[in-house]
This record gives sequence, C-alpha cells and structure tokens, in this order.
Amino acid sequence: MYFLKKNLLNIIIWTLALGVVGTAVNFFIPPSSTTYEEYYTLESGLEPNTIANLNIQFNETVNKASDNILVAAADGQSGSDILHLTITTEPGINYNSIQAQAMDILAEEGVVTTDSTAPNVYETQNDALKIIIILLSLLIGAGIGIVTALSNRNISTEEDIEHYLGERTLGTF
Amino acid sequence: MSETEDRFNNFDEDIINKLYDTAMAIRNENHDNPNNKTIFSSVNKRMAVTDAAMHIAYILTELKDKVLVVNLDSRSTPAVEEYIHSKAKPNLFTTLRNSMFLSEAINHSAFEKLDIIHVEEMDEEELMAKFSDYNILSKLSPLKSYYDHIFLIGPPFEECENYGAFLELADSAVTVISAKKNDRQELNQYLQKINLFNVKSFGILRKAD
Repeated sequence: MYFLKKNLLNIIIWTLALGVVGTAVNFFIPPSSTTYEEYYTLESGLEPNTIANLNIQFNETVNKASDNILVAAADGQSGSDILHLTITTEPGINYNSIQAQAMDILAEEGVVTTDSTAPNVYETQNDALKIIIILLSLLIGAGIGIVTALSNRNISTEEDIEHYLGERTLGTF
Repeated sequence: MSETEDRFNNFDEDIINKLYDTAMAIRNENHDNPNNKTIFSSVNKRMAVTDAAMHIAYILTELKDKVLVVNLDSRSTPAVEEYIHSKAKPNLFTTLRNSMFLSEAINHSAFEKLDIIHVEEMDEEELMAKFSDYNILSKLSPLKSYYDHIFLIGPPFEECENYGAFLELADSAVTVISAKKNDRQELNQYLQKINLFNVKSFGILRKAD
C-alpha cells in the first residue's frame, strides 16, 4: 500500500507519457481502406446487363487483389447515362493502377464515357489497431513506471525512513 | 565562549540550529544512561558523519557538558581537526603500546570541554588486530567517569568488512545518510548489523547534499 502511495504519481506519469507516445504513433497509422467514389457521364444509356457484366469482370480481375475488401464495383440504372464506380483501396493496392484497369474493363464492355466528376474520397480509419496501440502504450507505460519504482531503492522522505528502515528521523542538516 | 574558542570556531550556525534537537535527544539519553557511548557512522558519507558528530559535540559543550570524541576513522582526522584545532597527532595505539590507560591518549582541543583521540592510519586488517590486542572496549568504558558524552566516529560501513569491531565499542548509534542519494538495502543491512551488536539506534540524520 505504501509502495502505491509513494509511487502512484510516477506510475501515472509514465503511463500517460507512453499513452501520448502511442497516440502520436497513431497519426502515422495508414487508414485501413480508402474509398474513391466516381461518377461518369456516358455517351449512351446503360444496357440492362452492362452493370452485371462489369461487376463480373471486376470480380474476375481487380477484386482478386484483396480478400478483405471489394476493390471495384459499378452501379447504375438501366437506360441511365450515369455510371457510378466505386474503387476501394487498402495498403498495398494502388488506386491509379486499379482505376486504369477499371477503365480498360469499361472500354472492353463498350462503355464510352464523355465526362467524369472528381472522385469523392472517404477514408476508413483502422480504429481497432489504433485502440490496441494506445492500450499497449498505456500498459507499457504502467509497466515501466512500476519497474522504475521497484528499482528505486532511494530513501527520500522521513516517511520512507520510518516505513522502510523502522527508524525515526533525527533531523536534516 | 572564550576568545581562543571564538577565534577557532569553524562550526556552522545553520547546522548547529538544525542539530540542536538531536544533541538534546542524545544529552537526555546519556543523562539516563551514563555509560552510553555513541557511534556516529554512515554507509558512505564520511564527511557528513564528521560534520554531524563535531557539531553535536560542540552544541553539548556549549551546554557545559564534557565531550570526548574518539575518531576511529583515520581518513576523517583532517576534517575533525579543522573543527577543533587540537593539532594532536593520531596516538591511540601508540599510547596503548606504552600505557594501560586510554586517558593518556586524550588530546585537548581549542574548546575547553571538547577532547579528542585520533586513531592512527592503518589498513583494516591491522586495525582489527590492534582492537583485539589492546581490548579498546575495556579501556574506553572507564573514561565515561570523566566525560558526559563519548562520541565515536566510525568509518563508512561500506569500507569495512568487520564493522562489528567498531559497533561493539558503542551502546548507541546515530546513522547519517544522504538526503538524496542512498540505498535502503545497504542501510537496512547496516541497521541490522547495529541490532546484531545490541546497539541502540537513536535514529537517522539526513545530510542535505
């Protein structure tokens, strides 16, 4: 109990300090995935099977790049001249390369685009990893605080003298 | 204080104020136990031990008590001399070689009620052999009839393998530690040794570094 009373502040400081380090590290953790939402204006309306065919093509090519996410998906209504293309990337998957492949597939399916909007970009943060990093840093900080406190055999107060040595303090000069 | 004492006074007024209560505690204890001999020692703070012992001795002489300081740490002799200016050469064993009485080794200092005996410089093994040969304890005890207090200045505990030889000369102990840098394990070891020799510990004096 006395150990805690004497060292609690130090342990808390170590814990918080490492917690701050963990939080700083989190700034460098890349997002788990980035979604690019693109809209294309087509030269002619979509055929009934075009979207299905495009998604089949995507599944057979670019979507094999990841087991975790759907890399590319097309959406649009039959007869509409707007094509909605969603490309999702994760670390190790390059957006430009996927986009180029998707455009090739569109061309193969005979889809001709006349105009496009700038992609809307959404990032999905790696929350689980970030929480784990912060918890781990706090734990390591507490560990370092406890080890530091245990290895500190210094007697610095009159209370220490009474507790650890069972002696009274005559004075300080 | 006489004019001579005043001229030689190197004692620090601030330390005197801070050690006054300790001096009074020792004075009261020695009043109750007239045969008490007090050892001042530390694990590794030689200078602090000398400062504490000499200032407390000085405070007690100011209270008209007679104090004999037996300096058993030859490396502390210059520091002790800086305070008391006895100009005495270390003569404990030299005197005992020719005499049965330790009283003949007593040197007077610049302070009327403060006397000193210094031990000669020698290695620990030789010192232990001489302690045993001359039976210092039996020769030290009769001096209590002439003095109100006998203070022993012990060498640092960590420098001596056979510290018991010093502790068996004392009845009570004042341990000096550094207020900032010390090791409770070493201190515990030392305090256990004190208990082992049935020496009563007055307590701990902290030296602010």
